[in-house]
Amino acid sequence: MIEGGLGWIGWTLLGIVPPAIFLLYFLKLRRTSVEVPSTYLWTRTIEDLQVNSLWQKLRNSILLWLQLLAAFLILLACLRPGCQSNEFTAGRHIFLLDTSASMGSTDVAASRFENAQKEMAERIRLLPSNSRVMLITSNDAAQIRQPYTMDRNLVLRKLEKLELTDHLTNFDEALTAAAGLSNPSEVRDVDNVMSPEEIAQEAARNQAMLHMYSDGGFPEVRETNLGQLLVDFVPVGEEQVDNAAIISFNGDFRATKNDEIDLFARIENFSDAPKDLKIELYRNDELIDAMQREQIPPGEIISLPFTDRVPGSDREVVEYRLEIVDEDQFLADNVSHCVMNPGRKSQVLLITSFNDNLEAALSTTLLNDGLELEVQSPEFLQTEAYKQATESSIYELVIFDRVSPEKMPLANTMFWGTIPPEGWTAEPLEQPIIVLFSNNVHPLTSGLVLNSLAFSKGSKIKGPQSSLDLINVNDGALSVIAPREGFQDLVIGFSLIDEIEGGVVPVTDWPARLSFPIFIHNTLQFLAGLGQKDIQSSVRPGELLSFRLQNLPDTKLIVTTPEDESIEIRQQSSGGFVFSQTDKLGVYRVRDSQGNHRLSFAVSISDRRESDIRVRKEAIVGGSEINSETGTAVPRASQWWRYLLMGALAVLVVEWFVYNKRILM
Amino acid sequence: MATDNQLLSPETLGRLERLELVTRKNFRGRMKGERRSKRKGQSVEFADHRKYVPGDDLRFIDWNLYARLDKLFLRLYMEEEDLHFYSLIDTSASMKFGSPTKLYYAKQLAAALGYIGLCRSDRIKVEALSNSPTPPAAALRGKSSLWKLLKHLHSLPETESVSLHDGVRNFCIRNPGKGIVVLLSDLMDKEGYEAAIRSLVARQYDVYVIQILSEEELNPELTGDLRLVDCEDRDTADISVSPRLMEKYQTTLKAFVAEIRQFCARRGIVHMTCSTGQDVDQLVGSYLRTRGLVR
Repeated sequence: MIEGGLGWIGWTLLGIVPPAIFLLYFLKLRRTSVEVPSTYLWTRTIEDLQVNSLWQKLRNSILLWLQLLAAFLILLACLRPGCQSNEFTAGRHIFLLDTSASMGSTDVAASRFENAQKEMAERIRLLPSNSRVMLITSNDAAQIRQPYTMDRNLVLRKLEKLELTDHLTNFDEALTAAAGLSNPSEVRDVDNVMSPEEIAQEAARNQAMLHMYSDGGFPEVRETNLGQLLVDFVPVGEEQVDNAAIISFNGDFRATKNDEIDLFARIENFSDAPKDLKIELYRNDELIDAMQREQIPPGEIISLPFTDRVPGSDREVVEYRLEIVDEDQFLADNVSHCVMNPGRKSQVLLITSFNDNLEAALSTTLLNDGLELEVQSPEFLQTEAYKQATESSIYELVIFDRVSPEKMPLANTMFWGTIPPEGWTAEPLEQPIIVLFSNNVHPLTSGLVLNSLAFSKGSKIKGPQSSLDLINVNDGALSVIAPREGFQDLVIGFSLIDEIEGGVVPVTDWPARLSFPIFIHNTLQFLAGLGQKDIQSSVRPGELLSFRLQNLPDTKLIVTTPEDESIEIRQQSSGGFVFSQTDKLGVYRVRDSQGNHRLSFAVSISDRRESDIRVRKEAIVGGSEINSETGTAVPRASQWWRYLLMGALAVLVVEWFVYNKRILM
Repeated sequence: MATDNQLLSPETLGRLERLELVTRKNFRGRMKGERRSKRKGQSVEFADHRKYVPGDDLRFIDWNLYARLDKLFLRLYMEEEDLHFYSLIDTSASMKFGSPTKLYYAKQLAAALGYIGLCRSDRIKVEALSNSPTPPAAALRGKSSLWKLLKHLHSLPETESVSLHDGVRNFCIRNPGKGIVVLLSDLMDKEGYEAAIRSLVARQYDVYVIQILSEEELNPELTGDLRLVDCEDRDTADISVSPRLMEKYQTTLKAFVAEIRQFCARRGIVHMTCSTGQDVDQLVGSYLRTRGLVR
C-alpha cells in the first residue's frame, strides 16, 4: 500500500533533495587550501594509505552515501508504505470511544481503555490530511468531546485527556448521535429544488465513517437507524479472561425482628477456568464474615446468604461491604456495598372536625408502624404552624375532611367531600348514585370492588386538565386525581359522614366494606410513601438519585463521596433532594447541616453484562450485525513509514558520527 | 634571552666561550691557530726526529742524541693551525615556517657554533645555499668578528629558491678547503638529500647534518578536508584528516628521519634532528656536546 499524502509541490521539493545533496557534497569537496613547508611527507603518507586501503575511495565518499541513503529512506517514508490494501478515504470520521467501567480491564497491556486510546490515536494520524474528525465518548450516556474539525492535533489532545469512568455501557445515545451527525439536516431538500441525483451526491458527500472502539459490552441497539453511516467496529480486549464479579448484593430487615438483617449476594465466575474465591464481608469497615469457595466452574453463579444482627439498626445507618479478595482482570466488580438506612415514617396530617371512621382506618397497628398521623381541627388551617409545616414539606399527605384550605400545601392531598380552592369544580349528584366504573389500572383503586356502595349524597367532580377519573358514577366522576407541580391531589366527591344538628349521620356504607381499608392503605402507599424508604439504597454509577428527608434543620444537605469530597445539595421546591454526581463506586454518606449522619447510599456496578468482560466481536446495531471482520473499511495498516523514518534517523546519526570522527578527532 | 635582532643573548655568549668545536679529522689550517695540524711545526709538543740536512735550523738539532749516536738528528714538533668551520644554511621557502622560523633557528645555531669557533681562533664561514657559484663569503677569525658574523647572518636572503643538491655543490665549488661543515636544513627536498650529502663527503669535510623541523611538521594541527600547498613548488596534496591519516603521517616522518640517519651513519656523518621549539642554549650546551660537535 502506497499513499501519496503530499501534493505536487511537496513531491517536487522532495525530488530536489537528492540532487541537492550531490551538489552540496561536491561543494564540500572544494577543500580549504593550507600552505605547508613541504608536501613531501604528506604525499608519501597519502600514497601509502591509498595503496594499503582497498576501500579508500569508497571511504572518502561514505558521507555522501549515508546522506543519500537517509534521503532515500525519508522519501520512501513520505510514500507511507503499508501492507493493507483497504484505505481510508478523506471525509468525515466519527471516533467513538467506550469509557465504561469494563474498559478498565487489564487483560491487555495497561488497560483496554489505554490500548483503545493508543489505537485510536494511531488511526487518527493515519487519516488523510483533509479529513474531518469528530470525537465522541460513551458509557451509559454519550458526550461529544470534539465536533467535526480538520485539526487532528486538537482531536489527539482531547483524546489524550479522556478518562475512564465507572459507568455502565449503553451505546443507544452515542449511536443515535453518530447517525444523526452522519445524516445531517442539510441533505434534506427543503425547497424541493434538487434532483434525486443531486440529493444522492449531497448524501455521499456527507457520508461518514464511525470508528467504534469498545469491548462490545453494550446491549443490542435496535432503535437506531444508522442510515448511510459506515461502521468500523474495533473490539478491544481478549476473549479469554479472568474475572469473578459480585453481580448483586442486597439486604433487608427481617420482617419479624427489626434488629436482624438478611443479606444476600450473588457471585458469578466469568472466567474460562474454574476459580477459587475468598470472600469477605465487612460491616462499617469491620470484618464480620469470611469464606472460601473453591473450584467455581466457569459461568457458575453462587449465592451467598448472610445474616447479621445489629441492635438499634432501625435507628442507625449500617454499611456492608462484600469483597472478593483475589485479584482478577477487572477489579471494579470485586467490591459491592449494601446500605441499610433507618426506617422512615410517613407524615400524614388529617384536618377534620370529627371523623371516627377515617381516624380508625388510619390508626390500625399495621399502619402505625410506618405512619405518623397528626389530627388537627379546621381551625389549624388558620395558624402560623400550618403555614410553616406546609411550606417546608414536612407532610407527605394532608387529608382535608370536609374542609378546604385557602392555599394548597406543598404535599400530596386528599379531599373528602370538598375540593381544592382553584381549578376544580363540584356539582351535586342526583340520586341514585351508582358506581359504574372504577379504574382498575391505577394503584389507588386497583382490585377494589366498589359497585355495591351506597351513597346518601355526593358531588360530581371535575378536575383540571390531565386529571384522571378513578371512580365514575352514573352522572360523572366521583373521585378524581390530578397532578400539581410534583404533587398529586386526590378528590373524593363525598364525605364519610355528615354533621347535622344533634349528631352525625353516615353518608356512605363504604367504611363497613372491605374495600375501604384497602383503599386507605393504597392511598397511604401511593400518596404518603408508606413502607417506602427515604432513599434507594443502591444505585448504578451515573444514575440520578432523588430522596426525601424529614426533620431537617434547614434546606441543605452535605453528601460525602467515596473519595471524601463534600458536595452540598439544596432542597428542591417539591421538598425532595436530587443528587446526580454518582460517578464513583462506593458509599456516599448524607449528613445534615449539623453534621448528623442521616443516611447513606451505595454505588456499585452489579451488572452482569458489564462484568462479563469477555470481548464481544459482534454487535447488533440498527437491526444488522456488525463485527470486526465485516466492518466496513478497516485498514490495519502496518506503518512501515515509521520504521523507515527511524532508519533514516539512525543513518543520520551514523553519518554525524563518521563526520565527527573524520573532522574533529 | 635572544631577540629577533639579537641572535645570541649575552648569557649565551658567556656560556659558549667555554666550549670548543671538535673535529674528528686533522686538517691543514691556513694560519697559526690552536688546532693540531698535520704539519710539523713549532709547538711545544714533540712529534718526531729526522735526519739533519744542510740548511735546517740548527736550533732544532737534538744535541743529546748527537752525543750518544754521533749523528745529527733534528727534533720535530707538532704544528698548531686554525680550523675551518663552515655553517651551511638552507634558506629555502620551507625554512620560513615555524615559530620561531626554522631559518631563524638555523641562524641562531650558526651564530652559536660560529662564536665558539671565533673564541678558539678558528676560521668561521657562514654561507647560505645558493644557485650561483658566487665568490665565497669572507672568513672570520677572532672574537672581535662576532658582530661581523651576526651582521652577515642577518643579511642572508630569506627565500632563496634552490635545491639542496645545487646549493651544496655550489658551496663546494666556492670553498675548496677542508674543515667542519654543519649543514642546517629541513632536508625536505623532493629531489632528495642524498646527492647533496654525497657531495660534501666527497670533499672530505667533517660533515654534521642538523635537520631542523618545526612543530607544524612534527605535530601538524590540521582538521577537515584540506588541500595542502607546497610553499616552494606549489605542488598540492588533498587530504581528509583522520586519526588514521595522522598516525600514518607520524610513521612516515619517523621513517624519513631514520632513513636520513642511516644514510649519514654509513658515511661517517653525524645527523641530528631538532625542533624549533627546542632551546638553542640547551641544544648546543648538551645535545651537540653529546654528539661530539662541541666540548
